[in-house]
Amino acid sequence: MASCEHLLRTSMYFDGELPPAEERDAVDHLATCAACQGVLGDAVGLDAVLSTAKPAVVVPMVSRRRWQLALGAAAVIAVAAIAIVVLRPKPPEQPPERVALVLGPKRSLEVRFSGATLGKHRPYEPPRDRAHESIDPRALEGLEAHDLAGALASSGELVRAAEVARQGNDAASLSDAAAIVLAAGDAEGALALAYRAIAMDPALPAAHWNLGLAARQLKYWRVSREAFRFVAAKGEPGWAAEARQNIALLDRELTRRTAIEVLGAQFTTLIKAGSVQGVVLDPGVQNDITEMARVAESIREDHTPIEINEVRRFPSHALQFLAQAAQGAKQPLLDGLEPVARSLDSVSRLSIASDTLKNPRDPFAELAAYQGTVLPEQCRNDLFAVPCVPLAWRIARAQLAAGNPAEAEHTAEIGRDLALREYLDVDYPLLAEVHRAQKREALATADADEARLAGR
Amino acid sequence: MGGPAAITSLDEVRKRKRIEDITREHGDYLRGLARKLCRTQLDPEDLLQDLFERVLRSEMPEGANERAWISRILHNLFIDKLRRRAARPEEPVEVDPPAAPADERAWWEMLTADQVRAKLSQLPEEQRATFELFAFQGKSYDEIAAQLKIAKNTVGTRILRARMRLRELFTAERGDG
Repeated sequence: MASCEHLLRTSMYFDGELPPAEERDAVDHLATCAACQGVLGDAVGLDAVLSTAKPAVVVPMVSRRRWQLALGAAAVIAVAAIAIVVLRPKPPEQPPERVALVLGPKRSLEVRFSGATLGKHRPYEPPRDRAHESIDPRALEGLEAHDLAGALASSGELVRAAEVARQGNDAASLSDAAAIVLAAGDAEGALALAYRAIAMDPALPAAHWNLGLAARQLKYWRVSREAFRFVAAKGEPGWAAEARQNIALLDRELTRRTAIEVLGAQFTTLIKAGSVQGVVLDPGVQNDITEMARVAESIREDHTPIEINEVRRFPSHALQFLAQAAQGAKQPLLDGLEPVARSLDSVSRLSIASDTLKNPRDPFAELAAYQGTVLPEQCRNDLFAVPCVPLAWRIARAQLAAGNPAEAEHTAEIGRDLALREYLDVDYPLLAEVHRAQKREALATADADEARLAGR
Repeated sequence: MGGPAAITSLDEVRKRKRIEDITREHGDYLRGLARKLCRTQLDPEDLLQDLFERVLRSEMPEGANERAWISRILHNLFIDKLRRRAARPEEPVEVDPPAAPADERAWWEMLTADQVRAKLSQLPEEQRATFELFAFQGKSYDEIAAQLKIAKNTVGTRILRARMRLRELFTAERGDG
C-alpha cells in the first residue's frame, strides 16, 4: 500500500487526539487517500476486535457485581453497614497529600451527576477494558458532596457514593442517588428517585436526564423521550446534543412498536374471525409473536397468563397483570400464577409479587385501609429531641400505610440513624418495604405518564 | 385486512429482530464507534441508519468476528460518505477507485481479541507498551506521554506503527497459511 505523509494525522483523528479545527482537513484528505483509509481501517478493526475481549483484570468486575447485588436487593442494608464505619471513623495517621480531581475525556457511566465538575458534559463511552474510570482516591478529599458522590460512583464505588448522596435531602442529591442506583442496575429504584428529584425541583436537568435513562430501561419510551426533550430544550453544551441523539433512537423505537401493535391488532381480528386456527412459530420471530400476543390479549382484556420471558422484559406490566389477575381469582388460577410471581420476584429482587398472591382479594389496597392514621409531622421532629427508635418505626409504618412512602423513608432513615447510634436493631424489613412502596408509586406514575403521552 | 399483509409484515419483523439482536449485542459499541469516526464532521445517526440497512442485505462469512465484521461495514460506509461529500462541490473532484470494494474481507475480520493480544508480544517493546496503555488502559496521548516521558507526537507515531505492524504480521500469517 502506498504511503502518505498524513498517516499520523488520520490515526490521531480516530483516537480523538486531533484538535477539532483540524478535523475537517483530515477527513477531506481521507476521502481520497487509499493509504489513510487503510490506516483508519486498521484502527477500527483492532478497536472492534479488542473490544470483544474479556476484562484482563477480574477483581474490579467481581466487586462491582457484588455491589450491584447489594444495592439492588438490599440497598439499605449495605448502606447502613457502611454507615457504621462512617460514624466511627479512624483518624488517618498522617494527612493525605492533596491531589486535584482529574477526569478522563469520556464518562464511564451514562447517568448524569449534579456536581459542578462531574456535571460537565463528557461524551459517554463505556470503558473498553475496565468497569469504571480510574480516579485518584486522594483527589476525593475535600470535594463538595455532589461531586464526591459522582466521583465515587464513576470510579465504581457505588456503595460509598450512595452513602454520600443519601446525606443530602435536596433535589440534586436525589438525582445523584437515582444515577447511582441506576448504575447499580436498579432501574425501578432510579425511576422513583428521579421522580422525587423532579417533584422537588422541576427545572433540574440532571434529574430529567436520569429519569430518561431509567424510563428507557423500563421501556417507558414516551416518558423517556419527554425527559430527554426537556434536557435538549435546555441547550446545555454536550448534554443537549446527546439528548437529541437519544430522542432520535427513541423515535425509531416508538415507530417500531407502533408497527408491532398494528400487527397485533390484525392478529386479534384474525383470531376473532376464526380465520386462523394456529400459528407455526419460527424460533427467530417467536419473541415478537409473543409480544404481539400480549398486545392482542390486552385488547381482549382477559387474564390469560403471560409468558415468563415477558415477565423479564416488562416487569412492571407483569406486576400489574398479576395484581389484576389475583383479584377475586380461584385457587387453581393462583397456583398457575405462582411461577409468574416467582419469576417476577427474581427479576426485580423484590417480593411484591408473592405478597400480592398471598393476599389476592385486595392486592394493593392495604395502604388505603390505614388512611388517616399518620402521626403529625411534628412527631417526626420530636424524634430528634427525644430519641425513641421504636416510635420512629411506628411513625414510618403509619406513613407507609397511608400511602406516603417518601415521608416514610425520611422517618425510617431517622430511625435507622438513631438505632445505629444507640446500638439498637434496625428494622430492615420496614426500610425495604418503604423502598418497595416508592418503586410501586413511581411505576404507577410512569404508567400514567406513558398513557397520557401516548394519547396525545 | 387479511393474511398476506400479516405475512409480509412477518418478514419485516424478522429483520427487526436481527436489528434488535445486533443492537443488544453491539449497539453501545457501534454507537461509540460511529461517533469516533464522525466526530464533528458527519452525523453518526445517519451512518448507523445506513449501517443497519447494509447489514441486513449482507451475509456474514462463517467464523467471522461479528462485531469486527459489522465495524468493517461501518468503516466502508463512512469512507463512502466522505467521498460523496468530497465529490459534491461544483467541479468534480478526481477520486481514486475505492480502497477496498465493499465485499472484500479486511485482515482483522476473522480475528479474536486473544489472537491480537498474543500477537502483541511480537511488537517492538516501546510500541507494545504504548499501544497497551492506549488500548487496554484507555489512557489519552497526553497521559501516556507524561507517564513514559516522551513527546505526544511520539505516542501517536508508536500507536500508528503498532497498528501497521500488526497488520503486516497478520497478513503475512494469512499469506503463509
